[in-house]
Amino acid sequence: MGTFKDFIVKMLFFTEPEQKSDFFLKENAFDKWMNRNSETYGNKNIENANMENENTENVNDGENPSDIENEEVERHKNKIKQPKEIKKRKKDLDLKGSDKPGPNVYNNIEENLNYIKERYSSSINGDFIIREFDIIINKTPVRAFIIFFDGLVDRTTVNLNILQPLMLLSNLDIKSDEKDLVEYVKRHLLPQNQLIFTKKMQEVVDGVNFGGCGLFIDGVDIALVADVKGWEHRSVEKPTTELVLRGPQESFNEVLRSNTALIRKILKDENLICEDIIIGIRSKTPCSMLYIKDIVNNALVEEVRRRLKSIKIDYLMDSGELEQFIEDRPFLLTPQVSYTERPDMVAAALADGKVAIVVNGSPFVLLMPVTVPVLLHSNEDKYVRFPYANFFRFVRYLGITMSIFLPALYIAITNFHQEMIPTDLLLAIEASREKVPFPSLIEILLMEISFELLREAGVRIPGPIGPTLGIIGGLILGQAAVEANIVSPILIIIVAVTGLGSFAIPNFALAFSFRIIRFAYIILASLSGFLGITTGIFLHLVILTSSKSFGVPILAPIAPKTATKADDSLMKKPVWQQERRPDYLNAKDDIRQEKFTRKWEKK
Amino acid sequence: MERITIGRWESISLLVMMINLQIYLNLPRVLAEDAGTAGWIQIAYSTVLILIIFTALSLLYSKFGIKDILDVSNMVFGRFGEIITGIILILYLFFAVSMVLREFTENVKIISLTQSPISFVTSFFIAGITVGAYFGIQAIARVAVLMVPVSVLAHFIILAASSQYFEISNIMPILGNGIDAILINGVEKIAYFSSINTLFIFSPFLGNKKNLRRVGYISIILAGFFMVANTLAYLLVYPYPAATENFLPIYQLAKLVNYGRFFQRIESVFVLIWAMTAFLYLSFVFYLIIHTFKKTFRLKYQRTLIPVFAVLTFTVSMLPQNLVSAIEIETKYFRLVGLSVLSMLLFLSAAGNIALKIKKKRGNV
Repeated sequence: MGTFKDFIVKMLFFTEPEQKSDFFLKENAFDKWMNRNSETYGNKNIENANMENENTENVNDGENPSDIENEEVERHKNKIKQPKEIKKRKKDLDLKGSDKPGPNVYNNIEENLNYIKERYSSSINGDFIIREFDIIINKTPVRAFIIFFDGLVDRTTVNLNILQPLMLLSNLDIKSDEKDLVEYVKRHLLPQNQLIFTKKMQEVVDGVNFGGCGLFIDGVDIALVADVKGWEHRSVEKPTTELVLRGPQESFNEVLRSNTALIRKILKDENLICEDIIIGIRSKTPCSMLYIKDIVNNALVEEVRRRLKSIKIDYLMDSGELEQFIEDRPFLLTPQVSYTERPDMVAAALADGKVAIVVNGSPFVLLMPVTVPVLLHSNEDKYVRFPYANFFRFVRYLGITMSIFLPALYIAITNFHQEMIPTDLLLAIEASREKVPFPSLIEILLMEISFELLREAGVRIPGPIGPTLGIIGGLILGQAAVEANIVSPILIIIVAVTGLGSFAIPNFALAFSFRIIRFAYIILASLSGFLGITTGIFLHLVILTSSKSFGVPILAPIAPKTATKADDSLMKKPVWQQERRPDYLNAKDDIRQEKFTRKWEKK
Repeated sequence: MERITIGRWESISLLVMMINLQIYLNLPRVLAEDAGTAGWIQIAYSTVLILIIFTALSLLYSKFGIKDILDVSNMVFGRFGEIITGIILILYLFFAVSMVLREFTENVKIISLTQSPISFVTSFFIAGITVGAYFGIQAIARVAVLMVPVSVLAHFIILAASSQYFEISNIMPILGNGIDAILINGVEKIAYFSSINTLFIFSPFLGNKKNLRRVGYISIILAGFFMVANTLAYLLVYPYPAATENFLPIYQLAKLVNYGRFFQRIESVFVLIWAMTAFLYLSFVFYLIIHTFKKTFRLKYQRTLIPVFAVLTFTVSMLPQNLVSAIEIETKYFRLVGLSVLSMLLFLSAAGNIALKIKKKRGNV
């Protein structure tokens, strides 16, 4: 990735890029193999589904394609049993933890107790609880203790499902020939649905730190961790940043499993895979990578997994941080990963063949890959009829265009291309600017910066004094600035319309990028009018067209042009005509619905 | 190692935009000077001629797959031949980029930046082509895809809006300066399609040899259509003597757009589209210079060449004293150079075929 300094040096001295092969999402040999065996997978449509486009692609060079294909086919044949592999990996991760560093669980309970006390600094750690007790096994008391964090666990569950059975029910006459102590506890004493058995102390510590309850028994070098999470959290509420008039009114909260359940609740598909990945050496933040295994392109899943696993940081707080770690070009203004707080949007993206990442503690789920046309879609577009959606989109595009170009066009026209302004309007503008002492560039920069300040203050200001901001903005920056002859009234209109346009951008991150770029266009327009604006557009487009999000060109399906049978890119087709999944995702199964879905219309 | 390819539609967009740049420079006026009121027939004739030449060229070239002309010259004349061909191509592209840069800069200066020094205006184009070449052929081709609809819309707006001034008597006599002028002078007008030469330089990027022929035909036909339509509209609006005097023919046409009291004098808006076309032309040709230089001299890297060639392009574009001398150089030499390179392509393709046959014979013996 390199530092900012490296980036500047590269740009200034035209340094050749490192000789590396960029990841490009394309049909891989595994997919071809799948296609050839499509009937095995009950999907006859796959054969027709791939590479219909004539889009730009990177092709492998130098090696015999058939060899590569055979190798890949062999390699990927095993991956077909992915669910089992995942299961195995999960088992390795959760039950054994053999690769974990640190000491093993001791046979002696005193040693275990001392180790835990020291590890958790129990003498000063107020919320760390150690509860010692005896378990009656064959009428013999056996020493044991449990550990947990107060507040992280559900107290009732600990009392009723762990302590009560171990302390009281163990006295009952249980009919069992089980000799192994751990097996006995597991089979007869702990009515707990999620139990981890481990020999590694680190595994116990990780479980307890994430709302588990660790159980140590004397004479056994295995510890048990029961999942008894029960911390306070927000319930599922209405979305706050992605409101819609029509469509589901649920949003994610900060709990990983609630969030994955919200998605699963919508999709109800056993092929929806929820792969757990831990990120953060210290924070051990649980994340889930979600995808529908028989739709998504395997290369995409591999790439996302590779990027996630390569992150080595101490703490991961939020999905916003994670986004910055996995995006393709950190210095590109345009976002390369999208995020949403709406489960329905995640479900729709997964159904298209995208990958989602849920981060514990974040109510925003990441979606990838992303393209600019998709970022311009509102959540509501899916749920309203296509003429309305297209009208909204048209208004939105107009707003976006105005938010980027209007101030720059004002500068260009008033300074360089006055002949374009009709005489009446020209006179009106001149009359309004007569007493303004500043050139129009200073005038517009003053107002734009004031507007940005207002917007920033609006986000930070505490709720009760919010209305004050409106008064300051409207009265002081608007009316007073005009009356003081600092700016002309027409400029207030320009800035206001620009602001309105920028609010019409559905994606907040994209709106940010446009807000910054707007200033570049203003400067360019002040230098050379329309030529400056054209220079800006050209540079902007060249940078955008060369950018990718997880191997997908960020302007797809427009540049490069890909097959349009899934067309919901710029304008929305009627929903019954959207028969294909987006071509640029190269999904395994790109047929979304049958060609003629309104069968009731047939005689 | 990854190899970059560009799609069919992207290549077509790029070539159409490149050929059509001539419309914005001075094509309609030159045609009016040459063939009189039959300028539009002359360019239609040239389109047919270039189609025939391209057919011959692509047939000769069909055995070379997606090899570029440097590979073909290497095959025929060895490494020395490749270097000579490379140098000729670099000089041709360099000449094209410098001349178009100067002419276009002068045009922009006349239209909207009358007070600015020419070097200031040129620096914007240099910045654009430098960044374009840095990000490569894929990015430039994709921008062309985005700009083609806008450019086509602009063409139609100008044609539709100027249609109120169409006067059929302006294109009478229909054969203008005579059939001889059309047929004989029309041959050299195929030089306006000389951007098609670049197809044989960037052919390896097409990825598929079938694309080469399709891209060529569609580009020529589309560009020819726009050339004919614009020239016809220009000649329909301006009577013959006036048509030979406008330095910026299409700008003059756009200047006439006038609907009501409010919708008038919008010609500056077209600067956006024209400048974008120029950016695409210049950055693409500039990229090809860098690419050809790298390939000819078998260099490992090409981005390091960008600043050097940018400074050279800037300097060479400053050589003509003014717009008139720039146009003079262009009309005198540019067509000649374009035609020469086209002939060189034909020659090398024919020689390549002969070389292949000889090789085959020797192999059989």
